[in-house]
Amino acid sequence: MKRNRPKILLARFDLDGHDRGIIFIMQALRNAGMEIVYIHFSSPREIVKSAIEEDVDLIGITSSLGQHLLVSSVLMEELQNNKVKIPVIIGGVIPGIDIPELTNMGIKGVFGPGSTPQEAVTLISQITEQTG
Amino acid sequence: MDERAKNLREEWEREIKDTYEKKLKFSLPQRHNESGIELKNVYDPLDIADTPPEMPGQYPYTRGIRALGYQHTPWMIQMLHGYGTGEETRRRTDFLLKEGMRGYGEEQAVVLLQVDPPTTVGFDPDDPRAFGAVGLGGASVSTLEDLDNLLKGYDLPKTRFAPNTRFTCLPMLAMYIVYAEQMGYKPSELNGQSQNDPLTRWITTDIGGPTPSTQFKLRMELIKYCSQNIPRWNHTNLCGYLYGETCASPAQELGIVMAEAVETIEAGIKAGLDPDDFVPRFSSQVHLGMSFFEEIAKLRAWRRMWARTMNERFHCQNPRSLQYRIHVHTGGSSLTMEQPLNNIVRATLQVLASVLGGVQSLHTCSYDEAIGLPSEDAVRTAIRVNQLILHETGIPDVSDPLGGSYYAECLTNKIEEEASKVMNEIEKRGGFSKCVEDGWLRRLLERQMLEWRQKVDNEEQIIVGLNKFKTGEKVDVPPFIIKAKETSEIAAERVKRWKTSRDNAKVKRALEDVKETMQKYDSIEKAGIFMPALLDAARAKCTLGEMMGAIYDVTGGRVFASEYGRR
Repeated sequence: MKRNRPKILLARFDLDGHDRGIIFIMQALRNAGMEIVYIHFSSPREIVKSAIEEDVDLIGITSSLGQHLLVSSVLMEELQNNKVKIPVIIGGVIPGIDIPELTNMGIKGVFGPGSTPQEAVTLISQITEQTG
Repeated sequence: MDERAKNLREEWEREIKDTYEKKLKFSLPQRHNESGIELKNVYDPLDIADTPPEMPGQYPYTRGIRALGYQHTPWMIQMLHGYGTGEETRRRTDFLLKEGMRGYGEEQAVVLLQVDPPTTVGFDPDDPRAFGAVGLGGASVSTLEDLDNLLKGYDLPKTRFAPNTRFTCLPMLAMYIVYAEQMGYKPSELNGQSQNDPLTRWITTDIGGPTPSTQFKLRMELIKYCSQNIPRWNHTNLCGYLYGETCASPAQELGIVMAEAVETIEAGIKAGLDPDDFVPRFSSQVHLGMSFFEEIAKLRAWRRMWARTMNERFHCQNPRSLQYRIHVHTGGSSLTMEQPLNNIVRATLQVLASVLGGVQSLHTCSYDEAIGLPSEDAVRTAIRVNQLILHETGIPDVSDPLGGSYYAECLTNKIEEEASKVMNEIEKRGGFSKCVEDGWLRRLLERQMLEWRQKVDNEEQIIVGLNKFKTGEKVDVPPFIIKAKETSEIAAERVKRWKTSRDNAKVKRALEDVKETMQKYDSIEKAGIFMPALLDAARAKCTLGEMMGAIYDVTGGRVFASEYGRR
């Protein structure tokens, strides 16, 4: 079943107050014609549950507290446990030295400080074209 | 004089026309600052002809609240800090004190404490909802034991304790008072500050908290309790910082905070207080961005607007009600990951603007904060920026050195005008709380943020190293690492142990009492009835999460700002 436009779940840890980045991404993805579902979450399980229910093409999470490694590893595990293959990207305050570990977990893209919304749109378009 | 100034201005205008426009074919740049004020190409005496003379320390305090400025009292070097457990944060506090963090001089310790998000919301570290955030971006504090780990050995009356606790200011204060009691001190001896501005933190961060009306009640309770029991406690710190970080212009930041101030003071009067008894303990944490002169003008306009409003609208008589104290937090969002040392330059300009604007206190961001919490080396450098300006430059040797500058004075007037427009608009829309609850303010900030992004993306606004003058090389500074998993395990273990080592029947009764009293506290007029129940709960060794949990139980749980005012 092919949708005519990609559907993206954007998720923000509900105790992380940095939301400038995700507001920019949301706007850029909407401008690129994508459909957005935006949720607050307190556990990675909630993200996976929403992603399955909403049948999204990609999950984007934001993290600026320093919890990115912990939350990502649990999230990727949760996806595996549910036997779903939804690509995941992450943005926020993420130091460069953590990128290899995130990539090894299977995260498709890491957008640290200095990244532009357009970079995320380009990658998301590529990924969803391949999988869609 | 006016005639002469007029002639000189005309002569200047002729030269611009003849040399620049005709000969060099140069079209005059037309610029607006961040607040949307159109800038002239030059300013002269005619631009400030209507500005009355004023000296520092005189009403309306445009030139500073003290006659001698920094010559008598240098600004406080207060560094917001906190991460991990109480002990880890205490090590950082001691490091900062050793490097020069200080209050006005008489304090032994200054603890401007950042707590972690679960603590700001009211989740104990053993609560599953705190997963992934314990000890991150702040210290985990939920029991009297945690406070002891932070403050052990300090003479509390000589300690400035200022926890940044978002929604949990009131239970945190109750815990601190009980901790002080156990150490043999009376509340009246304590010195410090509560943020007590949860609504601002609620809309600007979209972290879920109590319903807006509950937040307002907790604020008023804190103000009333402190005004009557802890005269030295700064009960309310109206936060402009987060508006700045969400791209509000300097004039918008000031206008929004003034609208909030007015509403809060009116509520304080309803709660049975005389403005002169509680207004002196208001202050602000102010954002300081890169628009140098505009930010200086904002600080000057801030004091003037405050003094006039307190005088003309609330008829305050106490001079301290009119003398507004400002703490600057340099703009974290102006920092870049790329070329991190550039951030020291940014911080230096921001500290310089703060000092020229006459602030009482400063937190200076560190050069590595675009990638996380600061390392010791980075935070030491941030302190050094202050010490260098204070001791090497001679800048503090004269009170309000920019006083009388045609540009600075004119811009101060203009910022005040613009800020008044914002304040009036909010009041016309029903006031600050109304604009928070119906989403108007959040929508305004979102528009500002998107506009900023667009300007950066199309290089209308240049940020060195971000969209211009990039090196292309990755020169990461090593990030400061917090062991998230270990910290959360230690903290959870501790609070579990705490819960088994107390009289739990007493805890249950105390929490029931908190709930009942919160239910009875159904209007602002009844402010003053709730704090005693929280103090008893703290004495019964209830945790911060339990006290806050009781409040959520009877007031409708956690709600998110982004869900308000949406279609």
